[in-house]
Amino acid sequence: MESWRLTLEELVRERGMALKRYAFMLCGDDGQADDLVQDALVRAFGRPLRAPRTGAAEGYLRVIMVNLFIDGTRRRTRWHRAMPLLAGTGATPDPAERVAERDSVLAALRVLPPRERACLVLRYYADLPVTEIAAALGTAEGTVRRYLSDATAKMGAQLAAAEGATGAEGEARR
Amino acid sequence: MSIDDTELRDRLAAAAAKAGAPGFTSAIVAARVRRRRARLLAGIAGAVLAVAAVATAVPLTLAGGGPPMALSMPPVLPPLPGFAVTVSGNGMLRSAANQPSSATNRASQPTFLVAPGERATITVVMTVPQRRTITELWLGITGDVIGGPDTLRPALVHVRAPLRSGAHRFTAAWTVPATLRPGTSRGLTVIVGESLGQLSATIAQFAPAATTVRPTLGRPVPAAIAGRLRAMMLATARAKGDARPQWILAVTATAAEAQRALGDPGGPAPTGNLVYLVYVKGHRFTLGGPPVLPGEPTGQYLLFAIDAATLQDLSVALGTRPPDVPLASFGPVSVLYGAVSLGPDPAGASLREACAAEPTQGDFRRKG
Repeated sequence: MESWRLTLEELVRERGMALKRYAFMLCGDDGQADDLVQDALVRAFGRPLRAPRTGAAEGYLRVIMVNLFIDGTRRRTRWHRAMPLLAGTGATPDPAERVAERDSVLAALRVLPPRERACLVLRYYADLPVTEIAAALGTAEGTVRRYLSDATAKMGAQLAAAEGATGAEGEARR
Repeated sequence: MSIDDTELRDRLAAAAAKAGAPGFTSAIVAARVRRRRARLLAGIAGAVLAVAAVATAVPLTLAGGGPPMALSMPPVLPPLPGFAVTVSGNGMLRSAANQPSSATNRASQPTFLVAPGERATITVVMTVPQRRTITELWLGITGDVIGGPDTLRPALVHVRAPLRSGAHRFTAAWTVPATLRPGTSRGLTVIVGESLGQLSATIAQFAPAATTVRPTLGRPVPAAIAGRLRAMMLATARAKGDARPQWILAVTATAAEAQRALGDPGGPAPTGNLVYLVYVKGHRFTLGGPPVLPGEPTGQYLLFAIDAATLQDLSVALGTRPPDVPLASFGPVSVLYGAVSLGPDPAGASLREACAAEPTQGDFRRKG
């Protein structure tokens, strides 16, 4: 069996779940997370002379996933602008979106712009230092710090608002 | 409102735990990886083949408004078969070098003088080497650009049958366009298809006679020619980066003298024996013209060898300093453009030295 195939199998077997969770935090949707991981794996191993080595593969994949996520969000934004014109008003909402909306953290993440969201996930979920986040996103460290500051502020406000609303609902039921 | 880092980490971890199991397997991903690799490799192989096919003979025009100039690069695929071209017509046609031509060496391509509107009968004998088979062949007329069969205007011959080793003879008739102007030309181009791909090359040139005035060695450039040369050279100078050159000088010389002057022994031979050496001083020229690419050589001096019979470019050199040998050593110098004192000749200095400098020294670049 080819060496890249062995690396790929090992990665999917050992780190598949971790990669899926990481992708899930980025895009907030289970199906999209599967697609994101697969696309990143195909992108990473699809280059005949530049397939990642076992030790470095996961970090490499995380970087690819972040970039695919940000690029994909841009494309989806364009598509979402055009979609109402094509689909009309009778479109059925995606059930996965409803699931994500029920979780206050995921709902708060969805409010963040893609770059802020990527910075937040890389820093507080993947535990990457600011320098590595800046390298992964191809941006300055100062910019990453600003994204993180804005993102945590927004997250705090969103979570507080969501929990306030939940508390008010509970008291009203009583 | 902000949120505590530790709390944020915990809550993100808890949210991440809600992700379902991976909905893919390594086998599915491996299959996609294989398809992507195959596509990439197919793309690379296609690009290599395309580059190889194009690299066998790429005509590069010297100037948009000027006469065409060809530079052929060494073939990567097996070389083209040998071709011998003869042309007969109504007496106005004559061959300058009626001998087998090499598709990769413009110097050995025969140039045929033609009259606009004339009906020419072209005969091409192709000699296919042993153990080679040509699967498809086109012969046709091209302008500045050669490429696939769709660049033949018109296509004169199309054979779609195996042509094995030996001599194959093709005859076609072509009416020379009435609009073919002096200083321009048409190429007789062959495209051969083999198992590895297609190769194309120009194997002969057709050019109208520039004028009935015959240049004479030791005499100034004839007035009837000087005006046309000036217009051509101004257009060429503009295409090479300087619309207002300081001056343009010309002198009549023999082919051997021109080849020596340009440091281009064995370079393209003129239709007759005479050429005009044209020397242009400007501010900044490049051989490729603007925009100037990073690392591309530039210079203030251009030296052309122009076929006296057809006014086509044979060679051009670019330099950063004036030649040492005066143009006057070739004969009386004609000032085509600009105000020049011919005392201590501005075209002075050694043409030979300037043109023979190694291209890697970044001084003189030749194209011919």
